[in-house]
Amino acid sequence: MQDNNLNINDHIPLSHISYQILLSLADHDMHGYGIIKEVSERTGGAIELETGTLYAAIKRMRDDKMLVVAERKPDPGEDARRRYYELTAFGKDLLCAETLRLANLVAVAQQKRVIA
Amino acid sequence: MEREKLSRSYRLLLWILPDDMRGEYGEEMEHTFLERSDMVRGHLARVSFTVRETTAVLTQAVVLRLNRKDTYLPKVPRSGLIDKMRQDFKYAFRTLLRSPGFALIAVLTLALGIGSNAAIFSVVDSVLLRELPYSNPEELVLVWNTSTGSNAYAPNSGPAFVDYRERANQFDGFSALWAEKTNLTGYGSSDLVTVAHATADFFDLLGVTPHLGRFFVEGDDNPIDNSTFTDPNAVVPPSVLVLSYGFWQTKFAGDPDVIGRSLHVDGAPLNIVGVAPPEFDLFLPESAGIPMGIQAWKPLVWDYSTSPREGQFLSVVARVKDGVTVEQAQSEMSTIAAQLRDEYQFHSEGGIDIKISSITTEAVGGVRPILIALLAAAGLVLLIASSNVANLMLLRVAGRERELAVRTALGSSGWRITSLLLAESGILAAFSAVAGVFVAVGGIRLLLWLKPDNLPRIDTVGIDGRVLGFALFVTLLSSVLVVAIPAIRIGGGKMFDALKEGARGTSSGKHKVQGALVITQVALSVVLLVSTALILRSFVLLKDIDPGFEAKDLVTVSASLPFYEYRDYNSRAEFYERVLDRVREIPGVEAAGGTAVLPLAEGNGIWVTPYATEAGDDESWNRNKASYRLIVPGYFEAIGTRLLQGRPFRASDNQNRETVVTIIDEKLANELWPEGDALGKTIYVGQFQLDDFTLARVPAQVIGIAENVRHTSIYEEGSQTIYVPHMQWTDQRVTVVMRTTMSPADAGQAVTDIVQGMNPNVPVFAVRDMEEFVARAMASTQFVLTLGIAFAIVALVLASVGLFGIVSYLVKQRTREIGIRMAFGAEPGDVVKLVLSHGLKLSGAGVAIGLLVSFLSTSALRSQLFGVNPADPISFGGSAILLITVSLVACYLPARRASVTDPKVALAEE
Repeated sequence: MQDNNLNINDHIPLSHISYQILLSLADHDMHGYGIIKEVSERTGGAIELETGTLYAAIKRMRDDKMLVVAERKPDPGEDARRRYYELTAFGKDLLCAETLRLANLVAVAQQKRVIA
Repeated sequence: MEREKLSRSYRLLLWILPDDMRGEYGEEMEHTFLERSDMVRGHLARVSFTVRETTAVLTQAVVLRLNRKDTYLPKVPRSGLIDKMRQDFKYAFRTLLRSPGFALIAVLTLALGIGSNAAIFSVVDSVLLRELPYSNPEELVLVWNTSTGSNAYAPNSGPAFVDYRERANQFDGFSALWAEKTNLTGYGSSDLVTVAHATADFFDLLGVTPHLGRFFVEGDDNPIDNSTFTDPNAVVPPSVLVLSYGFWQTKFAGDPDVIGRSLHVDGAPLNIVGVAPPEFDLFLPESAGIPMGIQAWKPLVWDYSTSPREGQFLSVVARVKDGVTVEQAQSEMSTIAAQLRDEYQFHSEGGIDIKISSITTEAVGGVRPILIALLAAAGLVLLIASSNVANLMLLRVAGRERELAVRTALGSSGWRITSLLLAESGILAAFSAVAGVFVAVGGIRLLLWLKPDNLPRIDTVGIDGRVLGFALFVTLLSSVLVVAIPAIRIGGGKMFDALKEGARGTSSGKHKVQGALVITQVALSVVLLVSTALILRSFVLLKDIDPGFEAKDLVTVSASLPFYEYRDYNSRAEFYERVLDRVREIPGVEAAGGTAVLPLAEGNGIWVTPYATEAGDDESWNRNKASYRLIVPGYFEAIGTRLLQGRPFRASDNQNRETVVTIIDEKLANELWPEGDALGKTIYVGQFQLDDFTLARVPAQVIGIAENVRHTSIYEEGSQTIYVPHMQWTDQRVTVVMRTTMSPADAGQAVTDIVQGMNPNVPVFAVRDMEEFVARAMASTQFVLTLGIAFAIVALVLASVGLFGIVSYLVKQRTREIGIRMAFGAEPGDVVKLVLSHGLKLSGAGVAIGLLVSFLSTSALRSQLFGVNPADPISFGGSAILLITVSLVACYLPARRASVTDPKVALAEE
């Protein structure tokens, strides 16, 4: 962790929208529309982020240093207004921490035979 | 285009976001939004998508502002008030999020009220409030003639118009016009268009500047020789033509090179000199006999100064001098009317008077009461909606009594709590206003779909700044209403009672306020229901009217001969005779005939003739006016008008016959020959002479008596009618009337083929399904009825929701009491009765007040009622029964729940 001001515990548990966004950006950078599509496809259409909701979340997450705008330029032929977002190290830490928290929960649930 | 609009709307919506958010992400959001919207297919999906996206932005706008960390805020000490307000909004927003059901119902209810008001206002604004597109329209008046024993407005004769110009001093000028449908050819298409003939100063008088080219100049209206109307060899001198903007756009694709082109009106040559501006149109009342939507303007080139005074066909527009009142102008015209009565026999015998009326008033006079009634209905819906939400707020306040009481005890003033309520209602209002605009858009679509023909400028209706402003005003109004009542109660310090009474108070004061609100809602709904019921009854009665013809399976098609090609009477008669012979041969046509003017079609009002019996003197000739119909044999059989006596016209009733024959209607027969011996008698009828523009007095023998027909309006019995055979007096235009089971389109095509096979220059138009046409004649009633029903349903639903809410709440408040009653042996039935009787007391009181208010106010609807008394007991009784039934249902549900109360649970709850 690079920045002493950033504290994982201030953010855990993450809101489910933040988690979905972090998860989408886990393996590659994406633009806003891409995130919406990915979340929708991954959840079988159960979560359809509205444009306003997504960008408000992106703003919050950038302010909280979880995301930054990626260096890469839009692909040729793409709209120049399009920006790609990438996880910061802090964002990756958070994603990891939240996932562990969820995994712990799942483990407990398994012990209690909620699921096999 | 659609995408462009969407993008603009979204960008506009984004303004609600905090500046930093919009600055950083605005463009990107818009881009993403558009990309997503491209993927949405289907109308319903689009609506849901739009609503979700809009709501998301609105919600985030609030959330972002609430969560804003202090670092984002300017580093200045904030005043206590602003800080408190911010806290209030934050708190109110969270409270609302915790009870989304309440928030949703409140928003939807208010949105219905706001939206319906905005929709109706948009119509009122376009139709009633906007200035007419002339310079200083308040100075413009229309000039009319009235005659003894009749207040009906009639147009003016040519010589009278000349007299006005010469004698009046209080006016800047007088201009005259007349309009007709004529054949326009010579531009690669042949159309029947509405052309107005106006004096050269017409556009200058109205103060309009051309969009393109020029309007008329002095000399354009120099009179031409009357012989050109009758002599088939006379050369018609070329004249000029001004196109309306709409016609120029549709027929010439807005081509600016159209100026200078030549075309033909009724075979006479005309040069296009100008195009009128887009908003320009003339709005005259029906009595002017001038159709709406004039497509082209040409100078009035007949020598009207020498035409007979009996020929009252000119509509006259005048501009009152600056500084002269309408009363002064009227008194001058009355003086001139008196002079003319002294000078001319026609004026004295007819008792002709001159009346002036404001052009603005006349343009909307007929629809003003309808629109005012609809605005009033929308206002009632808003009142009901607001009082409903006020009631919900009151219930919420009641539910939070303990919390609010504690706050008060801890030192919050009544104002502080009121400001919390204000914040809550402010948030609700903001969302309602946005949802209300959606409702308004839908409402306007509905209005345009219903589009009654008689609303001038209805095509300009839409959402604009003024409508949005009005919606905002209505929103503010409703939020004041919503907050006022709970605020007054809290301000009165009643909250302390809650603590003192141990929270289960039977504080009846509050119930009284809520009861009063419910009574108000029910009463207002009754007023709407009664009004709608009256209009519904009128509509049902109208549908049952026998108009004097059989509209079912009747198809009509009109054709118009080019005037200058068929100046000879016989050539026109022969043409239509041949057309009808062939139409009768079409398989599937049972009967066919023709008429110069179809019942209920435009022009019925101006086809009139004077009449007199042999014994009748000049005075009765000038006084008597009857509808006058040129018909082609076969007409009565085809249209289904019964002949009560005598025989129909035959082909032999033509110009070769020495005596002119006529069929009169029952009304006229009874008036002239009350003994029932009209057949064979002679009646004098006016016949217009095209060579000298006079009205000849021609004797005609009565050969038949027909049943009465509603020619001018389905709403009232027509005037006396005189039918003459088309073969004897022909017109260039005939409407073919066919009784057939063919579809209107097929029948229309068949007639078109026949007519154009005979002469391709003859336009065929206005294929009508008569049944539909009659229905259209009732369009204004149907318009009011549809909207009335919509409002009444909304009112009924809101009132029953209100009743349901309050009764449920009362039941909850009295759970303990009910529990005790049941513990002491009360049956469930008794409990149901107890609760029902309470609810019914409220709705009964509301119904009683509502009936009283209706009784006092429905006479304002009189102009929209037909054959129904404004105090019609069936409408009043029916509405009362309906409301009581609905309120029984609304009260029964909570009553039922109360009756299964478990006494143990109820008592343990404390």
